[in-house]
Amino acid sequence: MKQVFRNMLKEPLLHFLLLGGLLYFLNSRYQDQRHQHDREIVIDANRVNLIKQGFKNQTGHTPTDLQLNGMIDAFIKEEVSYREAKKMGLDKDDEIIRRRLSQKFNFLQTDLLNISEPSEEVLRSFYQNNTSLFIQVARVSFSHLYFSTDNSNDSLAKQRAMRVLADINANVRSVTEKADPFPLQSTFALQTLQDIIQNFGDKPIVKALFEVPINQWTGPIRSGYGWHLVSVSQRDSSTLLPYESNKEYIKQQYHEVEKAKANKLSSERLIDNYIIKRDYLQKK
Amino acid sequence: MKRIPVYTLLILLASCSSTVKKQQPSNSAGASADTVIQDEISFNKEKECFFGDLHLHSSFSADAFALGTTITPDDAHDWAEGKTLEYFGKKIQRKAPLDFLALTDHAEYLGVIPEAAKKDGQMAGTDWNRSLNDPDPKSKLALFRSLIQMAAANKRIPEFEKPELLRSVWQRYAAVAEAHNKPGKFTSFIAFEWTSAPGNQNLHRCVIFKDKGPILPFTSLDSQDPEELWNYLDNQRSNGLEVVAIPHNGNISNGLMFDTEKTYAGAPITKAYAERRTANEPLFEMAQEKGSSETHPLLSPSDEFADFETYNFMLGSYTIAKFRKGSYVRQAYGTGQQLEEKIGANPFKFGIEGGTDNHAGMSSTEEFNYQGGNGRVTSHASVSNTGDGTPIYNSPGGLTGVWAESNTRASIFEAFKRKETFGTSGGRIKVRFFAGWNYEQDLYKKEGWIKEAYANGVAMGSDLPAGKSGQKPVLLIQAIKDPESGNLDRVQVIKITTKGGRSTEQVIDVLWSGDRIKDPKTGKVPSVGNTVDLKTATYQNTIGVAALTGTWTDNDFDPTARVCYYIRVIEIPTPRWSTYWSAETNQGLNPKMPAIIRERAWTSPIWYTPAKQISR
Repeated sequence: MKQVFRNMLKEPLLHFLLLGGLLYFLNSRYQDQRHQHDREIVIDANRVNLIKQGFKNQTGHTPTDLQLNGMIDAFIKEEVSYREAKKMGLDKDDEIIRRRLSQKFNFLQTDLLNISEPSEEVLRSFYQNNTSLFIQVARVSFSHLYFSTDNSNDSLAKQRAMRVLADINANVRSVTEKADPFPLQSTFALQTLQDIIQNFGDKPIVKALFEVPINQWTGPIRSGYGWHLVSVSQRDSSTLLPYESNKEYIKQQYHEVEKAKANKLSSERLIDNYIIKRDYLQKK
Repeated sequence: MKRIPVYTLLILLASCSSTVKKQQPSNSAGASADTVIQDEISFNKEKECFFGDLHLHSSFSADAFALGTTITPDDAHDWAEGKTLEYFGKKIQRKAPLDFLALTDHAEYLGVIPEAAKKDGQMAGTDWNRSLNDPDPKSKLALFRSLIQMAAANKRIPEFEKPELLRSVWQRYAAVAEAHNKPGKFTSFIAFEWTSAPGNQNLHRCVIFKDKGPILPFTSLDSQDPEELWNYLDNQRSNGLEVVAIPHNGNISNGLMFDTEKTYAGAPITKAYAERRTANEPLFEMAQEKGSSETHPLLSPSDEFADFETYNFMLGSYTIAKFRKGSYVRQAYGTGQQLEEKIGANPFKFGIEGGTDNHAGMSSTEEFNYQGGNGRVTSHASVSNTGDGTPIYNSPGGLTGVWAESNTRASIFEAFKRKETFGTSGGRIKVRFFAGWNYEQDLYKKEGWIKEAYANGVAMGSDLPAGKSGQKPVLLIQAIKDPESGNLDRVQVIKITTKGGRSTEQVIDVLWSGDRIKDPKTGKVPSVGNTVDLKTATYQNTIGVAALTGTWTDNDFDPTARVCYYIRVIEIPTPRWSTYWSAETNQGLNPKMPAIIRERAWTSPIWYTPAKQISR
């Protein structure tokens, strides 16, 4: 008998059943409690104060008892519908909620690391390896002819510009068309990319001025004002800022780059915890 | 402290920030950076147009910090200069950088709260430090409430009353402006905001120094009376500094800003008071985050463009401000002239500028690129659809345009004093105008007409000296569109005439796009049309024009009356920022504010005073 009992104790099935029973028992107790908790809506003094304050902010006075009770009822109703909505998973596909939570998380997550001061050696090699950060930007000087779309239309103005360009290229003395007076300057000196964006808008003319051949009328090109023919007289190329006189600036760039790296790394580490399935890449 | 209703979320998000003093790159190896820059400052005798923001807050303002703003004074300059910032995980930047900036953090405990929050700062170990770093939102909420209460009661906070601490934070703050000031490229002024708001009535002034700054700013805790602020300014002048104060938000001053009966202290308005006021306050901020102060639609019922970003809420509350008297600029131009008839000086003879008053550290005035004005609490959800609270009523705010010879502190500050300035609703419309008695009607068509305009007349912000008998004033006007925004619809002259204690206002369409004909009955130019698609928040520049230039003669001119003229330029309809936001998130439009905006610019006036009666 003892032997049988001992054998039974060694029986894995029994272990399984006992453990399973225990787990079942614990889980149902927990579920009961959780269920109870899920159904509980506590309106404490703190909550009431918040409701009162909210009312006061909107109206300028404290609510009467009648108003307060109404708002407490409304809060209960809102809380209930909020929980029901959550149960139904209505928060799942809501872009606003998703974005908001993600923003909050990112805000809490970024810039947590302290970047230590770089040594001379580290700083110098950072400078050498990141020359693109220390470029003195290129500048361009140019003249332009303006073809206004005012009280006309876009394609008519463009056609006028094309005719004038043809005349210029053919070296015609008596041009049939004339450019319009431009309300700002007709020549611009030493303009950086940002200067041109400021003066002409972020339009095709910005890129064109850094690409068109020198001393040659080109166009028509669109700006925020209308159409232009441009002739670039001078364009200096970008130069590298000297190391010694810009150390502080380089150090500051170093900190920014390192911070961005650290942020990127921590975000990648988080992503690594997930299994990303890019189903869209699979062939049908 | 301004915004009470929005603090639940911000408490969660409020966090401490640190300032890093930034170095500017210099492209010279040996020579001092100054000499190199000096060579490049361009000087234009006929003046160029520069744009900037004269009213902005960073994390150094106690309220902005409490709203969750982490953008430091340094970051705020970076944004204005067109650099990229990381914000909510997005890389953002102004499309068109600004030319100048006056960061005007609230003087009251300026920079002290971020300092108090620093774990290794001068207030480490204090209760404030503990509470500011307490992860429990309740603790921060309590803290914010107590801050708001102190501000509303204009009470000092004993723990912050450390001269050493206040001075060192102020010096650090001023050093940021110094570091970002690059003559010829970008101008940064040392500035602060004096935040006087007795009974939630806005009397705020931004205080801007021409070059070097003071030892300490003047706060509303020192006094809430503007005349006391002027005493402080006089003291600074006797220390060799140059400084002006610029008031704003007459619209929510409850009639206090342009009170014609009495001063803040209750004394009658005298000639000496009027002269002192105009000497200290040459400009007024026409538009900003909390609405425009030009006029109220009920004060100017026949002006179809009067209802523009109308904002009525008194500071930190939902009480509607009184507007009938003493709150709006256009009316003040008239009542000022009336006072001048009586006492011999005009206390409201100010020019116009614009600012953002943005509390998120970003002069983000581009309607399509607005990042929200309330630190980290202006969420998309709070303004789209039926979201409530003030954010939906806020606007990206305005910009200041100046006509100055160079982009330097001296040149731009002199333009403030000359009032050769204008305000915009946030865009970069360039507008200038002149008045004279002998301008030819088509002078503007000639090469080099600006030179002649200056030589034979006066520029905006000035007095037009009396002409010969029978002559009429001729206004010479040029408006050029913002290349990144809508075309121009029309240019209007706004004329305020005062005679025998009465003032009248006229809004006259003088230049407009297309071949529209004025309605003979109303005298108004018909609507320019509308191309805005609300669903996609887009518009077409197929209506309106890029520039409007011309002359206008005042044929109804009465040489015996006091007159002032200012110019208003109106763009074609474009989407309001809230419309861009709702299109981006596919939310419905919030019906509380219009979906379409008529961006605009307002110039400083030109004044005419009958002979031998000019006051300055």
